[in-house]
Parts: sequence; C-alpha cells; structure tokens
Amino acid sequence: MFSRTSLRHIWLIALRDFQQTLRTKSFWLTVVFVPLFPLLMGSVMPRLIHDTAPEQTIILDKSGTVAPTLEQAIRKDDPTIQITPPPAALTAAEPDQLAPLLKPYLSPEKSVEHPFKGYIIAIPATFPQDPHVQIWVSHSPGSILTIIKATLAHDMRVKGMRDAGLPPETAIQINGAAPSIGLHLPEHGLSADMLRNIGPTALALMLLISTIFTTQWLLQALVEERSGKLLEALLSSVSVDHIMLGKLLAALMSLCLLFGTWITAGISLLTHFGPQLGVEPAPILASLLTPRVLIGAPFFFLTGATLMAMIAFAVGVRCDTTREAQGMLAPILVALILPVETLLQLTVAGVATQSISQLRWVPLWTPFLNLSQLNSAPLWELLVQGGEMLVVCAILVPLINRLFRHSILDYSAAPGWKGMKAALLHAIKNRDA
Amino acid sequence: MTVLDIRNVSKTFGTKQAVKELNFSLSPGEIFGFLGGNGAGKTTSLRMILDIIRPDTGSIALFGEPAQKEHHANIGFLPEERGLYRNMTALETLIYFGRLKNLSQREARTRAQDILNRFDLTAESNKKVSDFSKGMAQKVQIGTALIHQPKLLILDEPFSGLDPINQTLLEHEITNAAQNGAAVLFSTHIMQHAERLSDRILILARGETRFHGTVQEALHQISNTITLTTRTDPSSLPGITQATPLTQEDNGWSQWAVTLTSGQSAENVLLHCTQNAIPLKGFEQPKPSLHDAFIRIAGDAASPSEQAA
Repeated sequence: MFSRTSLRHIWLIALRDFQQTLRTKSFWLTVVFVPLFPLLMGSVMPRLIHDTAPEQTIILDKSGTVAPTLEQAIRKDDPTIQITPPPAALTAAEPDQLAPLLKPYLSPEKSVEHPFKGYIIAIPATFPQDPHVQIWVSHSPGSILTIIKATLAHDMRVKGMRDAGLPPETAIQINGAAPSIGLHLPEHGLSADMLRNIGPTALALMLLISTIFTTQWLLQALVEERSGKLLEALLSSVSVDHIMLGKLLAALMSLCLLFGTWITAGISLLTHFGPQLGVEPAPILASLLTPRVLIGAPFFFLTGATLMAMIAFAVGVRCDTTREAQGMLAPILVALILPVETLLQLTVAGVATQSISQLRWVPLWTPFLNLSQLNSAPLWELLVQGGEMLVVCAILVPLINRLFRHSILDYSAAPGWKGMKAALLHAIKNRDA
Repeated sequence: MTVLDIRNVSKTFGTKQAVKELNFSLSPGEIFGFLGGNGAGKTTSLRMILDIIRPDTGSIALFGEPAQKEHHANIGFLPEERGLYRNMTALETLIYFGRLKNLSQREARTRAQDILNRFDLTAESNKKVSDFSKGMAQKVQIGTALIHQPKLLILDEPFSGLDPINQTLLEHEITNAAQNGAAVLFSTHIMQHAERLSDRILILARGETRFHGTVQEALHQISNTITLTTRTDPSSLPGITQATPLTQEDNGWSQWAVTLTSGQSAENVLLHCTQNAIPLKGFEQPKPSLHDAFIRIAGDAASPSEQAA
C-alpha cells in the first residue's frame, strides 16, 4: 500500500510532531498532573475536611429521669462524643428562655468566642407526659438524632406500659422485641456490576481525557504549519496522505504515552493505596484482564482516537490561529464530554443502563461508552458497534483526507462553520484537487 | 535528457482558467525565468509540477519519466509563502527537510552544517528559529531548498521579501546550482533578476503563454522603436509603421518616436536618411529592458494586478 519511502516520510513527520509535543510544558504537566491529582485529593482532602475538634453534648434534663439512660446510649453509639455538664445559666433557665441563651453557642459570629460543636438537648420537666424535646445542633446532625429519638421513645413506651399495669420486665421485654435480620453484603463491598465496570470505565475516562489533550496538540501542530506557511514546502517532499498519516501517528504516540503512564500510575496507586482506602485491587485488576477488555480496549482506543483526530484535521486545516481552531472545536468537545462524563459515572454506579445502551450507538460516543461497558454489554452489540465504528472511519478518513487536500493551501476560504460546510460539500463532489 | 518537460498542461478552477496549454522544457544547467504578474498562473503551474495540485489536461515529465512523487527527492522547492517551525533550531530544520528528501541522518547533518557555514550561520546553528532575525530565517529557508543538492530547483518568487544581502546570496546559489548541473526554474515579477539570471524566459498572462525564448529574443520584440529629431515627418520613410511627435517644433526641428516594421533595422532607416539627404539632428535607439519587454508582451492581456506588477 505504501512504499518504503512513503513509510519513511510518515515516520519522519510523526517523529517531528511527537518530539515537538514532548518539548511542550503542557504535555509533561498533563502526564504528571492527572495521576497526581487523585493522589493529592486522596491524601490531602481528608485532612483538609477532617475537623479534629470532638463533638459535645449538653443534656438539660428538667425531668431528672432520662439523662443517665441518654448519656449511656450516646456514648455507646459514638465513644468520642463528650458529654458536657450544662452551665449553671442554662440549668436555671426555663425552656422558653433557652433560645436567646444558646445564641453564643450556636450563631456563627459568636461561635468564635465560645467554640462549640455538638448538640444541646432540652427535656421538659414533665417528660414523658410532655413529649416536646428540643435539640439544638451546631452543624449537620448525624446518627445521634436517631439514637436520642429511639432512647427517649423506649423510655416513654416502658413507662407507659408500666403505668398501664404491666410488670416492668414484661414492658421492657415487649419494647425490646425485634426480628433478627442477617445482612449479607457483597464480598468486596461493591456490586457485581460495579466490579465488572470500574476498571473499563477508568480506561474510558482516561481515553476521554487523553484524546481531548492529544486533539488539542494535533490542532496546534496543524495550525502552526498552516499559519507558518510551511505546508507548501512540506508538500514538495511528501504527499497530503503522508502529512495526515504522520500527524495521526504522532497523535497516537502521544496518546499511548499519556495512556500508558496513567495506567501504570493508576495500577500503582491502586495496589499501594487501595487497601488503605478499603478498595480491594484484585477484582478491579481482574476486570481489566478479561478477553473482552484485552481485545476490545485497543480497538475502541484506536477508533476513538482516529475519530477525534479526524475532527481535529477538519477543523485545524481551515484555521489560521489556535484561537479560531479552539473556538470551532469547543462545542464538539462539550458535546462529547458532558454526556460521556455523566454516563461514565452512571456506569460505575450501575444505573441508567438503558440510556447508555442507546447512546452507545452514536459514533461520537461509541468508543468511550463501549470501552466502559466491555464487560457487561451484550457481545453482539459490541461486535455490531465495532463494525459501525469501522464503517464510520472508512467513510470519514477518505472524506477528511479530501477536505484536507482541498483546504490545505486554500488561504482564502471562508472561516467558521459556514466555510467548513462549503468545503465539505466541495470535497464530497470533487475527488481530486 | 530533459529535466522537466511540460506538454499542453491546463488547469481550471471553477470557471477561471488558471493555466492554458502550457508547454516548455528544461535542460540540466539551465536557468529558466517564469515571468508573469500576480494571478498570471505561475504558482499554479509550479504546484502542478510538484504534484500539489493536478492538471486537468496535459502531461508533466520529470527526468525523462512521467512525474511521480518519488522524483521529488531530486527537486528543491522554495515556496512564495515561506515559514519555518519556530521551536526547531536552524540545524534541526535543515536536517528535517534533508531527511524528507531521503538523505540519511548523518548525510543531512553534514550538509546542513555545510550550508550553515556557507550562509555564515554556524554560530546560530543551535538557536531556535523563533530567535532569528528575518534575514537569518530567510537564509535557513533557502537552505531547506538546497540541502539535498537537487537536480531541479524550483523557486516561487524567490526574491520577494529578501533583503539585498540575501538577494545576492540567492543569486549566487542559483548560479552555483546551475553550474553544478541543476536546472533552475524560478518565477518572478521582478524583471531585473530574470534579466540577469535567465537563459530562457516564459511570460505568462492570464494563464496563457505570451512569450517563450531567450531574454535577447524578448528584448528584440521591442527593439524596433527609435527616436529621431528631424525637420520632416518621418511617417513616409520606408519600413516605418508609426511615427509620433514627442516634442514641439524648435526652429523646425521635432523629436519623433518611430516604430519600425517587423524585420526592419534601425541601421537601414539611418542609411536611407543619409542617402536621401533627410536632415537629422538626432538619432537614438534606446536600449530596451526586460521590464519594457514584459510590459509590451504581457501588458495588453494582463489583469490590472498583473500590469501593476
């Protein structure tokens, strides 16, 4: 198909473009930052959001009957909670006077002077006849509310049954009656669907991010040659096909380097930090080593990269500035990223399989969504969609090649989508330049 | 063996005929000037020779064979629109273009260093092109066309935008390449260079060939104009097609611009005047320039932009 000289030309063009990409700071920042980001988030964020100040609970029990039981229940649920004796001013106050007295504890302005984090529980003097218990909380309440409610309800019911004439033991026995429920969770804490899809979805996400970056670099290389008036000099040595294939190869080389680095970093992070975070690496790694992933991933990786490269070629060959090119590419990237990003999250969560199943047929999204579903989608769908991608590439590559040939030295062409439409129609109608 | 042979080549873009029935050939060591104003069809013709665009009709042969991409290893090309990779050094740029012309890495490096030395750029060889002055970048661009010592050197408006030093450098390189056996084809609308360098020229106007021959032959086309200062109207002299008075009478003497019929020489007119005692105070045969010849040959058919050029 290609002579040795042609292959040499393609390689030289690819190598130059690849070396140029390697010389950019943005490439190395991308290579390093993407794996570093989850590592930083994983190690730094918990420290940033973790508040070391212990929670406190103040119990104002006017009835004098439930405070010990409540203290016991709260301590049992969360041993770190401190039960603080109520200040004298609060103990002496009537229930309707409490709210203004608690302001220094609970209002954001005052809390600097009286740092307080926790719960203030006020139980009326005639509890349980008066069941109106009030709780003030300094932050979003946790499970302690359930504990308080259950403990007080238990107390009320036991007292009620005792007042009704039942022996105390019987009352306690009746109130404590509950079924014994055996709860069986998945072996690794994740559903079978999640386990099957988490690895391939990570691949799809990496492909999505890496293709976005490589598309940008490809676009920059194209615009540099077009705006720098280099194309005519190149075309005196090589053909349009050589330039296209060389640039495609360079984009794939950058993509492979990014992808390879990220996968290696991802696996290293998973094996080193996974167990500490309660994530078992073995089943996730196993999900990447299934025959479907081993065969399907390279295929959808190649077709996805080719598809994005063709879009970059169509845009880049008609733009004289990077800004103009990025302006045209931006809506395409948004159309790609937003649905794929959302659907990938849903895939991991194991929901919305119907919508994913339908959207997998749209060629722009097929490689990314199929990559995430390699272990769970019906085999026939994967095969047919693989065929669909081959057909799309078989139509798109010669068409873009023709567009590229027509537009490569046409500096007078109308810019923007209008010009693109005219050039595409011209390319469809005219085989040769 | 001819280096380049173009037969009946035509190209149309939409309704505009860019090149019509182009015919010419080049031999080794020959310098061929391809002349025409803006939009005359020069760049289209050069792009067809380089297979960047394809002719609608006609044939192009390179080195005695139908033109193929493989022949491009023996062609050096300097386009009208010039640029370089800004992030590459001068040495890397020359090596890259040399390698695209099938030179080995070692050979490309040796020749690149030789060119940089010849162009007085050795000290800047590892500097990025983005740090170069315009004149230095122009030298590197010229180097990219010469690095593989091509058998056919095609230069599209090579002198446009060059500073005088680089114009001289390029003229020297063109002459040098021709002396070493390369055929040189260059397009230009600056006639002084064409007149100085070309063995043969071809004048294009609106895609059509208006003249094809040597510079002397082109000059001969306008060498049939003389200026006479006489007391009588020279229109009646034999071999004269037109006589136009240039100055008012001064004591009976007037200056006339006289156009001779084809084949008539100025010497014959002078002889006729002397033999027939026609009083003459002045007789001049202005030395024509290629610029004048170009205006005369292409001017009537050229578009406004071509005439301006």
